[in-house]
Amino acid sequence: MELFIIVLLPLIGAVSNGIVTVINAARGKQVWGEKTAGVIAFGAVAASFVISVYMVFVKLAHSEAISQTAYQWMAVGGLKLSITFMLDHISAVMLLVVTGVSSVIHFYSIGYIHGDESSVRYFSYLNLFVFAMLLLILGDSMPLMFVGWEGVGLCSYLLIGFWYKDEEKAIAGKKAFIVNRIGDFGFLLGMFLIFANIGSLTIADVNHYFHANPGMTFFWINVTAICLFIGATGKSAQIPLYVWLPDAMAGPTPVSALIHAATMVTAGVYMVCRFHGLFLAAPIAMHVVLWIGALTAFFSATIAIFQNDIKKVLAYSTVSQLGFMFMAAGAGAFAIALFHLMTHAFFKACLFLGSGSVIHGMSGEQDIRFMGGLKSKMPHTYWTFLVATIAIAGFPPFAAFFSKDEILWNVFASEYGNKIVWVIGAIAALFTAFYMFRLVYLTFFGEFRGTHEQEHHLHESPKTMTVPLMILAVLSTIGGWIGIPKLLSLGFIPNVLEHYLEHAVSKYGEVHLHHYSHSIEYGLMGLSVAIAIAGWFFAKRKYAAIKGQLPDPATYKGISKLLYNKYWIDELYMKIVVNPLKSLSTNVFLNITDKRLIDGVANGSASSWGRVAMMFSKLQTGNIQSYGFYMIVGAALAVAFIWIIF
Amino acid sequence: MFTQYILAGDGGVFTIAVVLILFALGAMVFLFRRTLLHMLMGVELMLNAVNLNLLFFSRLYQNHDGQILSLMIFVVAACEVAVGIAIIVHLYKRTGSIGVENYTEERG
Repeated sequence: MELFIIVLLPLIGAVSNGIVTVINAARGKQVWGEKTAGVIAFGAVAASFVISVYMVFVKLAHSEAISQTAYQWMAVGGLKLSITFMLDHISAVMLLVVTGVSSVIHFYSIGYIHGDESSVRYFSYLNLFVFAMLLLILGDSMPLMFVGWEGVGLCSYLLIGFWYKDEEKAIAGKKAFIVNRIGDFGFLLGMFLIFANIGSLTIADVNHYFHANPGMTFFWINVTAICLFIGATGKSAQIPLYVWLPDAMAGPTPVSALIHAATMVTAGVYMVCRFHGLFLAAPIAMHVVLWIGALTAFFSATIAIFQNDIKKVLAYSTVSQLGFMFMAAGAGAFAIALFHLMTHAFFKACLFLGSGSVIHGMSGEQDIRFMGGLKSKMPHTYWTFLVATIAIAGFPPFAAFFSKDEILWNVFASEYGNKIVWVIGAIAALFTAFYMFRLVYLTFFGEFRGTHEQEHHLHESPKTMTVPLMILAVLSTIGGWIGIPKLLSLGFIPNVLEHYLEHAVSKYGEVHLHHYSHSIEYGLMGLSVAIAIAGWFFAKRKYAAIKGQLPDPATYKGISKLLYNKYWIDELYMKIVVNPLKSLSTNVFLNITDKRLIDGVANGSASSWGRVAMMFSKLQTGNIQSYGFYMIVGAALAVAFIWIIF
Repeated sequence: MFTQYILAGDGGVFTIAVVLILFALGAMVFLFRRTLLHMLMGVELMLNAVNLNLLFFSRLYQNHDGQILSLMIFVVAACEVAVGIAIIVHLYKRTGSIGVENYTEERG
């Protein structure tokens, strides 16, 4: 019952705000305005969060999983599905992160969206998103999960194109939706394969089947897992389907923070962890996950170095961090993937909200070339942003140090891991520290490089925006402390996370770590710190003392040009995928199939029936006596027919 | 089915024969005479054939439904004649002709 309340509260908020949006638009007068809408939306999510906390810490404390069924959803042949929500330790982590971060961001949104004409609609979409996300997290069967999966995609589309009057934003929304659909197709194929082979779609059954005794051949198990992973690459913006996420920054900044950094994009990671029974039975798929994660982490980190849009940098950073999560999952360290998912949700949400605060203060300017020196003007934003930056760069004892170090350690030591991947990951971590401190130095240090008008307007954001920043900054600091490795705490501080997730993620197969001496582990840990310091040091040397205007991107040469243009991946996709598809659609499907075939059949049948009718119209002579004749002949035929029959 | 009716009862066959001949004559008149007035008379002839038929079977089965129906047909036929003749008179006044071949405006 409680799980249903958790899921339904945001839906109630979404529906009530949605209805009011329609009524407001139709009647031209406000039933309620942005204040009430914001309070309802925030209240719904906050209530969900409170109940979630109760469920996780009180109800789940003594049991392995809580499962609650509402009613039977469908029964088709052998497939029986019910609306069942399941809370176990994996979904508990995700549930707390999603409802918690959502609450903070809803609160921030009240300040951010102030003055927008369609703020009620905004809150309706935001609540709808939380509802879909909760379905995804708590659904205990693949179809239910898929409903949430598609639902968050829909809300992402609606919110990226929230200011749909700007065509560029509408196109970005469309791009996100279409790229996601490509991934979803993989998810569907995986689901079909699983159903065809095991005849059940509940998560527990699937994991259990693949763990216990896979009747499927090795090849098909891997195909199934890779299909599911393709779904994850779409939703979680991995190579080759990451292109939508940077464009998705066209949406309002809290949306970028909530959907495109903290929650929705981590759904792919969550899904892989959810189906770890399947993935552990598919070693090739595990390698694919590991490598794709590592390559994505590396490539998007390099792109982020040369971006000048504050939100684009963070977007590529998100892609990169998601790559780290997949690296962890690919190395078999599902608990660590979830750990990094959680810490990432904190510091990335903080960074995005901080960037929103900066953009707000800069009257809409997003280009860091025209910022600088905001430190004294926006102290709260500066401090929180700095804390989150230190966290993502991996300085101890901030959150990402523990999670990222654990990821690299697992990649290094796990039986699924790989030393080359470890090197790639370490370089990506170095780049992460570098581009994040570049962002900080260009934004907050040096002298102001914008216009005088912007300088005049420059102000610290209101309390509704800075308070969430502070909450998230605190979480970015202490969020990692629940997973301190034993080696560092020497057993004095319990590794809460590992203890909590241990059973849930090793239920369907254990992953063994190769044995290394403690000195190597300490050495790698030291290396992580060294990497973070090196990134900070290079960024400081290059950007801390910058004077005057920064060069125009058009003058970039060589490697910086390549990276500024994101390896021309978008252009490449345009050339090899989008344009051929468009020309195929126009030349074959439109001009031949549609215009010739379908229109031909439709118009042809219409005109041929017209011709038949012309033939029969000859019978209508206008002479009454001929009609009389037809009648009598008809009656005679009817009588003759009856006579013959009887 | 029909045969057994025709053969049934006393003099049934003659009545049926009269009915059929009367109906056929009416139909002939309706189909082949070229003036509207004659065609109307042909229709009346057919209606009377039907009435006769109804009366015969009504008596054969000792059932009054047929007689009632034939009374209704009288009424309808009288109305029809009144309306029909009125139309024909007006047509004649307007165009000076009641030949059916002149009224073929509804040719398809």
